[in-house]
Amino acid sequence: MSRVRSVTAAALVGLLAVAGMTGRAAAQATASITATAAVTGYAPLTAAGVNNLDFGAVTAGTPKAPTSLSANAGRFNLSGQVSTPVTVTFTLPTVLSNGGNTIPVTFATTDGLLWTTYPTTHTTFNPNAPFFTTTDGSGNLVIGISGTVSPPLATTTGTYTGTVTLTVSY
Amino acid sequence: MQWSVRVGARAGTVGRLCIGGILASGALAASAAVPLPAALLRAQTGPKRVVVVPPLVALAVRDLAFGTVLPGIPSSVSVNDPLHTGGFEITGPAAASIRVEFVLPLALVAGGAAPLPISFGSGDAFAAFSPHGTVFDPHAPLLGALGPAGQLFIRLGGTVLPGHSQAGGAYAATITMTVFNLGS
Repeated sequence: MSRVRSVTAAALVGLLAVAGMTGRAAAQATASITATAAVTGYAPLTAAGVNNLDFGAVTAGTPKAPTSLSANAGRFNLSGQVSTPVTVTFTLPTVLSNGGNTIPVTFATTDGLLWTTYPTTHTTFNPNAPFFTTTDGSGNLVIGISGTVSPPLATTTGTYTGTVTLTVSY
Repeated sequence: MQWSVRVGARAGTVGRLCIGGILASGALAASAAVPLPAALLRAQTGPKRVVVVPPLVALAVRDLAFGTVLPGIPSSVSVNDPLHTGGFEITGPAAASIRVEFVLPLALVAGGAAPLPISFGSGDAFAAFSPHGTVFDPHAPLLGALGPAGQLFIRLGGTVLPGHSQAGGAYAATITMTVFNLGS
């Protein structure tokens, strides 16, 4: 009897061994990564209109630009992060208004002004399209805007006004 | 007076011997031998085969790096960006069916600063299945199969949404991928 019993036990062990050696891939596996971001402490951007675009006295039928760019062109002072690229965009009027009366105003491709040294030195750009530039070593920019009014011959006498809006972004 | 008794030989039978009028009892040992089926016995005499199956492994290949971001300006990493996307590699049995799941953070943190929100769109994950890869939503389980070499690469993009007053600093969060082997 003991011999039968021992054969039975050996058979069971053998079967278990074969089952163990078949092997199985792990049921699951896990890995982790890190999402990272470095938020810079950029200075906030500010823009202030400091001088209106002043065409002065105009004569009906005669187009006119500002007499002096340094004194009569519109001007904005911008401030932000030092030496950082920014985009400057204008929203420009098409007319100046006096009640129900209007006179056309236009802005040429050289009517945008980047004052590298105000009031003595500037470069020009097209104010009708986004302008890409960089703040200076102090984080500042001085941007000007000129233009041309063209009052028709039958223009009613009066003071005509419009709004020029500048937007700056990083 | 002689007593004669017959003792049963079945397993579990308790035989009683009456000797000299004193009743004694004892149990017979059970000794039934149940033969193994012939098929099982034959398995012990045939050759043994060993099948080695590659383990299922998940590897972190690359962090999801948004780099420098500005307060108030959302910043995204496209799933097509080979340098900044998060990367995982899965290896295992060739052509094994798998299910991939992510645990995604809601925000990155940096010490005591306000959390930096992060979002994952429906097209912010890519699995490089063979022969054609698949863009998928990392919020939902991905079902597929490892390639003929038992390998699969996965990329993960996303978008961070810093507030206008987001404090400067290095922000981080953990993204975990789990892959399940559904069998070949």
